[in-house]
Amino acid sequence: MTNASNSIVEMVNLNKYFGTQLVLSDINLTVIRGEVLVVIGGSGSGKSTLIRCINGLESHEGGTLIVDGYTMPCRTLPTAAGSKDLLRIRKRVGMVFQQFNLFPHKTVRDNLTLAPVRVHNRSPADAAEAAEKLLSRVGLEAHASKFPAQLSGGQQQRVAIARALAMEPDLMLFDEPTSALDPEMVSEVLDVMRELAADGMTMIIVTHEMGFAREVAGRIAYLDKGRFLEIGTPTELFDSPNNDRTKTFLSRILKH
Amino acid sequence: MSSPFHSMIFWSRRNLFATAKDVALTVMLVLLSIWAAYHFIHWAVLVARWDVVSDSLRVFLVGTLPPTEFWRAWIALLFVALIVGSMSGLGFAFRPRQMALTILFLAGLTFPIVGNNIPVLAAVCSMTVSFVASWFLVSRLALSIRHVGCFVTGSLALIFMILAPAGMDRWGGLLLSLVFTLVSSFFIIIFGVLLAFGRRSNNWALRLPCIMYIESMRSLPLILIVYWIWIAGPLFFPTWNVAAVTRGIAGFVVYFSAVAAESVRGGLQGLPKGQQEAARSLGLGEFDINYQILLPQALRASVPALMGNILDVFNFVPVVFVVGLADFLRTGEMVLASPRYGDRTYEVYVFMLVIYFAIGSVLTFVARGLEHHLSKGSRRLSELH
Repeated sequence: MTNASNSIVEMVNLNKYFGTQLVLSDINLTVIRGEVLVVIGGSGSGKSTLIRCINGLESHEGGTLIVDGYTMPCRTLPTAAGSKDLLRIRKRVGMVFQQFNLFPHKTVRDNLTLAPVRVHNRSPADAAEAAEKLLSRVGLEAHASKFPAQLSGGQQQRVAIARALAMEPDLMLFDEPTSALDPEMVSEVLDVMRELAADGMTMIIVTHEMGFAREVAGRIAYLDKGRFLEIGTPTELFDSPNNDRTKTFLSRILKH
Repeated sequence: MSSPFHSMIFWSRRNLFATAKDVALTVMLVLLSIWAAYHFIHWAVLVARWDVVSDSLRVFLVGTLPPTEFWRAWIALLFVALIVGSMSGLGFAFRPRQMALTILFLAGLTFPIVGNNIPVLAAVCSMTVSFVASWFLVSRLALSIRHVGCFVTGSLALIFMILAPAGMDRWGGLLLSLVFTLVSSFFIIIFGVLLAFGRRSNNWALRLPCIMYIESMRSLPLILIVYWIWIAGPLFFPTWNVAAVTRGIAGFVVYFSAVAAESVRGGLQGLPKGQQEAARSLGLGEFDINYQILLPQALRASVPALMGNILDVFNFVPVVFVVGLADFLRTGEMVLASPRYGDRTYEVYVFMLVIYFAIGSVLTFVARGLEHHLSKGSRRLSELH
C-alpha cells in the first residue's frame, strides 16, 4: 500500500475550470500526514473548490491529484480511477460543510451511524456505541435522540464533525465550518477542531478565523484567483508576508 | 370581559362590519346564503323523494354484485376502514372525545339510510370498530410509516384476493371506485418514484426512456390511454383473459405514474444540494444516497402533490365507463335509466355529490396526517421555540 508514503495529498499542476473560466490554475501542494493546513483567501478565490476536489465533489481538468495513494479521476484522463476508487477515497476523507448538511429526517444518532453501517458494514450496535463516544467527545452525548432541527447551529456543526469522524477518516476537510454560525457559537466549534488537531488529525481547513488559523495551523496557504500566492508557517505569513496582495488581504481581514 | 360571546362580537365588528362597504357585503352574502339554504332545505325535506337512494343503495354501493357475494364486499370495506384508520393514526393522536362526536354525527347520517337492516348495521358497526381500533393502535404504539406501509400493502392484496373470486367484471358501484383507486394508487406511487429517480439518473440509457415516457403520457388524454390499453390487452395476450378491471387499473397506472413522477421530481428538486454532497462525502453508494437520504425527504415534500394525484385518480374513475365498468357515478345513471326512478335526477346527483365530497374529504384528511407524520424532523423545531 502507498499508505506508507508520508504525504496524504499531492497536487501537481492542478487545473480546474468552470465552463471556460479557470478557477484553479497550476496548483502544487503536498500535505503531510498529521499536518494542519489552513487555506485563506478572498471570496471567489477557489478555496472551496480546492478542497472539494480532494474528495471528488468536483473533478479537475488537468494535472495530477493523488489522495491517500489513489489518483483521482480527471476529466481529461478518465482512466485514472473509476467511481469505485472515488468511493474508497471518500471513505477515508471526512468533510464538514459550511451549511452543516445534516440529514434532517434522521436523529443525531442515525446521522452518525448510517455511513459506518452501510459503508463499513459495521453492526448497528457497534456503530451506535461508537456514535455515543464521538458525541461525548464533541460534548453532545445528551442529544443523541434529537433531530438536527432541535439543535443550535453550533451544536449541529459539532454533530457534523462527529458524523465525519464516525467514518474514522485519515483526513478531514473543513469548508468554512464557522461561517454560517452566530458569533457566540463559533468558539464551541473551533474548540472541537482544536482538540482534533491536538490529537494529530490531518486537516485541511478553509476559514476566515485568523486567530484560530495562527494558533492551529502548521502552514497557511493564501489563495488568490485560483493561484497560491504564498504558503508558509503562520509566523511567516502573518508577520512578514512576501506578496503585496497577501499584505492587502491580511490588513483588510485583520482590521476589524 | 373576554367571554367567547364578547370576543365573537369584537371579531365580527372588526372583520364583518368595519366599514359601510363591509356591512353591505356581509348583509348581501348572508341574505344570499339564507336564500340558497332555504331553497335547498325546502327541496331536500319536502320535495325530494329519497326512497330512490335507500332502494337502490345496493346498486350504488356494489353495482351488480350478486347478493351471495356481498360478504366479500363487506370484508373488503372492513380492510378499507383499517387502511384509512391506520393511516390517520400515523399523523393524528387518538382523541376519544372527538372520535365519539364524529361517530355520533356519522351514525345520525347513516341510520336514516340504512334503517333497521340488522346485517348491514352489524357490518357498519364492525367497520367503525376496526377503523377506531386501527387508529388507536397506530397512534398509541407510535408505529412508523414502514409498519403501516407493510400493513396497507398486505391489506390491499387481501382485498384483491377476497373480491376476485366473485368475478372481477361484476364489481361495481362505490366498491369498484374505492378498490380501483386504492390499488391503482399503490402502483402509481411506486412507479412514480421509480420514474422520477430514473429521470434524474446519470445513465442516459435509463434517463432518456423515463423522460420520453413521462412527457408522452402527460401529453395524451387519460381516457384514450385507458381505452387503448383495454383494446390492446387482448391484442398482445390473446389467450390470457384479463378482466376489464385489471386493464382499467393498468390504464390508470400507465397514465398517472407519469403524473406522480412529476410530483416526486418536484420534491427532489426542492432538496438542498448539500444533502447529496454530504451523503457522497461520507462514501455512501448511489442506492443509499437515493433510498436513505433523498427519497424520504423528497416524499415528505411531495406528499401534498401526490395526494392531489390520488384524489384525481378517485375523481377520474368514472372514465372507466369506456371499458364497460360501472363505477359509482355510472350506477347513478343506471338507476336513473330505470323507468321507476327516471325523474329523480336531483336526488341521485345530490347523493353522489355528498358521497364524493365525503370521500374526498377523508382522503384530504389522511393526506394531512401523512404530511404531519413525515415532517417529524422539521416540525419539532417549531415546538422547541
